[in-house]
Amino acid sequence: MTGLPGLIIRTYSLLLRLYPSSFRNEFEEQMLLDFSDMAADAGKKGRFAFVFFCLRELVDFPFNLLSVHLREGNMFKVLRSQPVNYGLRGAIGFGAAFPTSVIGFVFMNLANESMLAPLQVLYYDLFHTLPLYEIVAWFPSALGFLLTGLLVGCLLAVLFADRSNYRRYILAGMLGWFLHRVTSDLLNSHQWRFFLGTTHSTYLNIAALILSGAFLGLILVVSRSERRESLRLLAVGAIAYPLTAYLYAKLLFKLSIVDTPRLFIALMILMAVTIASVLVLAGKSDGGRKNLWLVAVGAVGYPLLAYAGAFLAARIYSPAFLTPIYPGGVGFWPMVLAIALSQAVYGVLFGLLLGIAWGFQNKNSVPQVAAGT
Amino acid sequence: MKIPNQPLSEQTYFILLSLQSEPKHGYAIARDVELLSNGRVTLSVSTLYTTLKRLLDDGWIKLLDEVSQGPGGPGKPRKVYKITKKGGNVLVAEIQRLDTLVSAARARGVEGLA
Repeated sequence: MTGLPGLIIRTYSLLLRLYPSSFRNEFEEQMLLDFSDMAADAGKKGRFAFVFFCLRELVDFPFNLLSVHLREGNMFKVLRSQPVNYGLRGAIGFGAAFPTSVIGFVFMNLANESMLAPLQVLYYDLFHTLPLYEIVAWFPSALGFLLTGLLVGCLLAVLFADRSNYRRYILAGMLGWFLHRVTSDLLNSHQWRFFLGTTHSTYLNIAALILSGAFLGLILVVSRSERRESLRLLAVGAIAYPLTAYLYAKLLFKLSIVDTPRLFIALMILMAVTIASVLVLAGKSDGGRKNLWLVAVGAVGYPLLAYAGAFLAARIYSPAFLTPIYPGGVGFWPMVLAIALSQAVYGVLFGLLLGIAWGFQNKNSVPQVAAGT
Repeated sequence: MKIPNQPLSEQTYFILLSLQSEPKHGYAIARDVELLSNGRVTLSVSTLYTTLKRLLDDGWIKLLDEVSQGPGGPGKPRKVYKITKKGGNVLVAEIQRLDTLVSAARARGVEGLA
């Protein structure tokens, strides 16, 4: 069978691999034969019947899959198998990290306005020294970097750590991210004139970006304890980050002048390809098609998700959605919660995509249970 | 022999009923179930084989050694399933249970029953 029905049958044959091996050995061939026959029957009845047939199979499939796994007692193994396990880790990690970063950002701003800003003014009134004042004024940012680093460390621990080494992931993520952000902030902020004078040279900017990227690589080196791979991982960070930062800034600048969907998609693809490429370079896979697969999933999947996320956010923030819930106008915290909620949904989808792609890339393309372990 | 006292699901009931007349392969069972239920019960492939697996494990049906051909004529052979004596008893018990329910309704003269 060719065309769309053929594609659907091939997809179904891939989905059948999710069943336990014992079940597949017994029924896989028969299921595929029956599915082909039923698809052909539905196709003869017209497009509507064919779509209805596909939807019915799609809806029934996960429930029956779950039922078979529960019956076979393999659910625990399935949850630990590579693509599923990493998919769940990604969904939980990013689903929690994205809204937490939104709420954390709001709290940092509130703390800055209510406590730290008056302290800075008090400091200036007492000592009247501008350079040191600028250092003090930078403290809230530094605190923010440290807390964001904690979040990054927790995310890495959820994504990659075993029970025995999650503390190392958290610590490496926190310190590495802190150093990365401090370094990239080094030449872009006025506060650091205290150390570097007033000269802002291009070379210093580039050096800061490279160093900043190397600190990202350092996170992987320390968290995964990869001493043998340390130079490669540091180089990945040092090269990939400045390049991405440059392209990202260029695209973002252009987007601020000419706001077109094409540029937006280009930006998303750039981000996705970067993330996927870094994972490929940092990973231990044998290379080849699996790496292309991860990059392709990122390049196609992420822009789609970003569009879906933007669509969802636009719906949630729109007056048509919020006015019936808050007739007197949307308050500050409901708006923050709405943003956090949309970010949570987006994070779950993003993490699921990334995790599953990562799981497939690093291990077999078939879950371990389905492969018969 | 222990007969389950829980009512059978519609899918299980119709699959057993379909196999009562003659052994069939999966596709033929699905089509027959649709026919028996006047198009009300349509089995998806995953539901069909999940149910067949359970019925096999419970010993209500069994796999025959012989194979048959699919609807498109000669091709890959299809596995054929047959209802067992145990499965037949379960089906009869279920029909009796349903009959009791309908009889009770008839005895009370519920409108709409023939």
